[in-house]
Amino acid sequence: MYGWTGKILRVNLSARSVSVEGLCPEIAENYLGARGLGTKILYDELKPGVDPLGPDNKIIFATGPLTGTAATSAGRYNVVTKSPLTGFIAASNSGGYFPAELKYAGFDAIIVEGAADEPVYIWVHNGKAEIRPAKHVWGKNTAETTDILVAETDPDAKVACIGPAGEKLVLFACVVNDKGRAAGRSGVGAVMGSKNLKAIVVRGTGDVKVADPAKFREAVLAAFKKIKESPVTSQGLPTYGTAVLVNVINQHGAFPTRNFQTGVFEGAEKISGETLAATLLVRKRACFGCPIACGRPSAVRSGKYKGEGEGPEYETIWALGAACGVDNLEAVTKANYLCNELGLDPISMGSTIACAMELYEKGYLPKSATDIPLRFGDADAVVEATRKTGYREGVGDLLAKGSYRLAAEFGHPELSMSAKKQEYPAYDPRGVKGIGLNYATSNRGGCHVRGYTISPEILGVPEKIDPLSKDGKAAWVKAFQDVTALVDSVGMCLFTTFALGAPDVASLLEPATGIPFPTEKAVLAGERIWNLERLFNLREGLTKADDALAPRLLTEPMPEGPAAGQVVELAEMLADYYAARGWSEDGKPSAETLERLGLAV
Amino acid sequence: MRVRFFFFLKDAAGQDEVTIPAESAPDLRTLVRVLAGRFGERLARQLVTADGEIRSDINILVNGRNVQFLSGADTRLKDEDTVSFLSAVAGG
Repeated sequence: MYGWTGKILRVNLSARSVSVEGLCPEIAENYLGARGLGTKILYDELKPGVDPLGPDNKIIFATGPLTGTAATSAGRYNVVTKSPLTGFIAASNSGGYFPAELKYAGFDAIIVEGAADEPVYIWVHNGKAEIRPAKHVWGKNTAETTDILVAETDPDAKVACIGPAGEKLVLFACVVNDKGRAAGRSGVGAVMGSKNLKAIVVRGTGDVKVADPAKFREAVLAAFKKIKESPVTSQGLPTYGTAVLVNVINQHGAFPTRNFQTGVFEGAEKISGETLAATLLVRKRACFGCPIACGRPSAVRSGKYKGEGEGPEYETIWALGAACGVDNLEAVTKANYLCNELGLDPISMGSTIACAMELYEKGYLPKSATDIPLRFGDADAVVEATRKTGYREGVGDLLAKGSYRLAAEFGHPELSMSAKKQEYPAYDPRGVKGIGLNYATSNRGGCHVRGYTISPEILGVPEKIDPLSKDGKAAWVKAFQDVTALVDSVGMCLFTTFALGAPDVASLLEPATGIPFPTEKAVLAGERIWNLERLFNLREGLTKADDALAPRLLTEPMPEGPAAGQVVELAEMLADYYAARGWSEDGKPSAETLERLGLAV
Repeated sequence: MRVRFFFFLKDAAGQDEVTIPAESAPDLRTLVRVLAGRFGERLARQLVTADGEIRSDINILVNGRNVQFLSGADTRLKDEDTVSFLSAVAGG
């Protein structure tokens, strides 16, 4: 095969066995790789209803056919499993250098099943794999673990691992690779922890063969030119990183503040991308093969928040900052370092603290239930609550369940700002309607990177559409979700879509794989993947009632700012969306739709 | 009115905000002309095309609403308005 290595590594931790299987060409063509391939494997192999944290769950680390090639920003992989946070599908995407190294080691994907009876890691090198003891790194943070495992394997090895949060089954624990990159959402790190799997370490000296090198090179250069010609990908992201959005979203009155109680944060300037660039930024860092280089190594040089690491990103600044009413950038940065080191999803972490703060301030969460006061604006509380969650100490044991279970435990689930029990990211949908529909319908729960309609609704890419209108949003959400599934599944970074479209992705895919990929076929693969995720969720018991938003967003008008008076008209948009998808009124793909997508049984 | 510059436009203007009386810029088209004249060539190039039209790749907000969904270049301005000029950026 070209593009793909054609090999899948299967590791059974219960039996302590490893085996190598061929990748079915038909599956590769229809589901591509990464998110799509992981979903197909999970759908085919997982029994419905398994405990996400039990040995019957499987966790798949999958690259795409373009991962590790010269294609623009093609250094991505997905971690796919059944989520312990949502009970539905998890597909968490990360970059760095681990994904390309996995391809060079000879594998498109690793399927991990069963559970080890004591801590282990998997060492994958040039077509071989072994299960090794990991007792000596159990309890270590992600940076320490990475250094130790590189030292005992190969100086050029790349590591994906969990921190204490994953070991202790925090429901939103992430997998951290290359120290600062994370498969962040849906608790994929807890699934690793439940299997006593501390890390996967990879090293390879192979390469990825493409079918038509000359044509591929031509397509790569054309895509690269577009990236360099776009002001967004050639100037905005490289200069300011993702944190550039703090001021943009706050200006639109859609910057969720104090657990989505308002959309305007008075302290936004203090935690903005410009402030970050002027104060804590050390340099820029790129993932494998990426000309955009949005990574932000940073340092807090002195004081009680002293530390160094990567970030914070826009989402993190929001979650650990505005969501909690905190405008201290050094504290936000410190809490972000803790998330990286302990292996926590900063979006769910910050939003869960914000939820706890509202519960606390309203008297629903009694003072006796927490060992630290949880008041909006308390920067020290955010840092300490993050640390405690990573180790499940004190109130951290409560926060480790995520905002939905926390709020439900204290009788107010409506105060959890989540969809399918996964916390929303940093855009208040009362001020950006399309993203609300995307949150409600995202197969992995509250998420912006399934269908990033912020791009047209706020940023004007590829065209400006009105963020406060519900009209036409269903078609935009569907289109963005399908193209994103395509991009995620070939192994490219979603940020390329600020400059590239589906035709560009298809133009790379065809010469890389040697398989004809007209644009329509590539986008159809994205739609197929989206629908297969939906089928997985339906099999796990999802109903229309799960395509929902918190009551606050539907019934409490935005109190101030440019979106004052707005609520989300979800019911109308959802009906349009089901129709656009070819689903029934209760949200199930119709027989015709399944037939069209090649998903009919 | 309060005029705010963000990102590369702030760099080009050399400051992050300025106050302009509505009587000298009663609509957006006039405001852009005033700003281009006041802050010089570097900012002007980022605000208007060679034909003198407001560039489509920047976002201009009046009180948080993109002017595209108001009256575009004809959007009327008052002293109590905040007009934000944002260069093309993205994140996520």
